[in-house]
Amino acid sequence: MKGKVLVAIMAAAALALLVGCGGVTSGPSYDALNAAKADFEKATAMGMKECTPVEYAIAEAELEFAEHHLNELKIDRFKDHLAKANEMIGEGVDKLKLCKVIYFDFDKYAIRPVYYPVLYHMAETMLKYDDVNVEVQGHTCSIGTEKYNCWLGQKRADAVKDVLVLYEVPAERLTTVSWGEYMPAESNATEAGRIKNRRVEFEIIYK
Amino acid sequence: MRKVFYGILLVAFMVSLFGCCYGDAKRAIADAEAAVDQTVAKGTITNAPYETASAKAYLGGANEVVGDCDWCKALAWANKAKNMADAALAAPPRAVSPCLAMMD
Repeated sequence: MKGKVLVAIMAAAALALLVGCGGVTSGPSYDALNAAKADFEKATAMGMKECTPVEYAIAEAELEFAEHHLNELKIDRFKDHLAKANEMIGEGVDKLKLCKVIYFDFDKYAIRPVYYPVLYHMAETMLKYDDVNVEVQGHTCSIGTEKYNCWLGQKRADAVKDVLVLYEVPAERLTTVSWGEYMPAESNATEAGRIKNRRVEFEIIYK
Repeated sequence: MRKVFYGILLVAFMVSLFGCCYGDAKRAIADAEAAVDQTVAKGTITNAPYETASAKAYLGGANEVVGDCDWCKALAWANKAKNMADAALAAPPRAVSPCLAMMD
C-alpha cells in the first residue's frame, strides 16, 4: 500500500514537472524576450551586423543566454541577460549614425550643405561612445587618372574629417584613407552609378 | 546488497547527468580561454570584430553556466567561443588601399 502511494506521488510529481516545464512558453518574460528578438531582427535589417559587429555579436549571444536561463527558470539571470541584449541592440542602432554615406559632386570635395546635420549627429554619436574610432574613407568615380582619383578621394575624406573635428570630435579618433576609384559602390558604366561612387563612407574601428 | 544496488544506481545517475560533458567542458573552456587570449594579444578586434566579440561573449556564457554545473551547455558555448576565436585568428588583415602606394 505504502509503496503504491509513493509510486503514485512520484508519478504525479513527474507529470506536474513535465506539464509545468513544457507549458512555460508564454507569459510576460517570453513576451519581453520575443520583443527583444524582434528588435534585434529589425536592427539586423538596418545593417547592424555590418556597421556595428561588436554590438551585434554581444546582443546575439546575450539573447541566447537569456532564452537559456528563462527555460531553466532562472528569472533573475534571464533579466540580466535580456537587459544586456537590449542595451547592445540600442547601442548598435544608435551607432548606425556612424555609418552614413556622404555624396559629392563630380570632381569636387566641398561638402554639400545638406550633409552638415548628418555630420553633426555623427559627431554627437562619436562623443557619446568613446570606445570606437572611425575611419573616413574617400571614394571617386572612374573618370580621371587613377592617381588623380586617389588625390581627390583623400581630399574628400579630409574635408569630412575637418567638419567632424569642427564639431569637437578629437582628431586622433579619426583616420582618413583614400580608395580613389578602386572600390566602387556601383558600376562606373552609367552616370547613375558614378554618382553613387563619388562618396565618403565610414567604418567603425573598435579599440 | 541493496545498498550496493542503490550505490550503483546513484553512480549511474551522476554519470548520466554530468559525466557525458564534465571533462569535455573543462577542456573546452580551457581551450577557448587560450584562443580568446590570443585574439586579445593579436588585436583581432580591428580586422574581425564580430568573431572576436562573439568568442568573448560565449566564453563568458560558458563560464557562467559552469557555476550551475550545466556541463553540456558549458561545453556547447565553449566550443562556439573556440570556433569564433579561431575564425578571428584566421581572418585576413584589413585591406590596404592601392592609393597608399600611389600617393607616396
